Amino acid sequence: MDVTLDPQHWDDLPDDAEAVVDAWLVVEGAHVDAGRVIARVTLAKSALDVDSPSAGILVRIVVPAGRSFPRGGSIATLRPD
Amino acid sequence: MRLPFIRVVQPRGTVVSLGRSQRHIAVDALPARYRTSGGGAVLAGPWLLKALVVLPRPHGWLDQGPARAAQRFADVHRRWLAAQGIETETYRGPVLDHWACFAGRSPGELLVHDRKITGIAQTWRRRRVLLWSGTLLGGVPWDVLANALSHAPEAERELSAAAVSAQELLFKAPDALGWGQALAAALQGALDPNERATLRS
Repeated sequence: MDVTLDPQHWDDLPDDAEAVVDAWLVVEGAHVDAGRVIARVTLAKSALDVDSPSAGILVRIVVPAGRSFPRGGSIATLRPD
Repeated sequence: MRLPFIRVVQPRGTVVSLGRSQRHIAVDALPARYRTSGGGAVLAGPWLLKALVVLPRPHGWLDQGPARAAQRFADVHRRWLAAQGIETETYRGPVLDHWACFAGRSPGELLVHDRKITGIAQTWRRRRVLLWSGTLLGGVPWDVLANALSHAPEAERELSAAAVSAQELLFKAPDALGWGQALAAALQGALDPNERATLRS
């Protein structure tokens, strides 16, 4: 399962807007509960939380801290319980 | 804290306020603060009027994401500045990053002839959202900001061209106390009238 930033956060922003991952709050291999904040990102000067979409194992961080990603981009892969 | 919460302040001392992606930057000779929000460096001081609105989630201002929240927040500032005799345009995009807040651009921020007068930043958390603004009342000593962050002297000219203050536009120093009270009242009036905001200034 892909982990993405809530699509609503991109509303009304230019198509080429990009977000930046500021920090990961969990490490690869960690188990997370559904709804837990697992990363913090910045988009158009807004600091935003990324919640885990499901309980499971964070298998892979796709976008490390300091790197940017586009609208709809997956920033991590989660294996649901 | 009872929400919504509104605070409008004119900083007394001079402080460099850095965005959350600037934590690695060293600041010379001035105290530094690190914001939870994004954006570039701000030189806070008596030339700046800062506003903070803290909203609970959910809230009507927040139901369409950060860009629309910035728009609503900016609309209040646009009407407030118009009442003081300053007509502004709302920046629509694209996002332009810069190490200094007032040389960058983000949707919702207010410009006068392409020069920024009001910057906006946000912090979204699970239970609340913080909306911040900074409006330039007076001239900023841009050289102080450039020096504190070890930028070349030419940065002063770039920042002066990118930003504008109310004093520069009106040819007189604004009454900061009166402007601050008017902004706080405008923000309070713009929020849901059924919610009595906690007001500090």
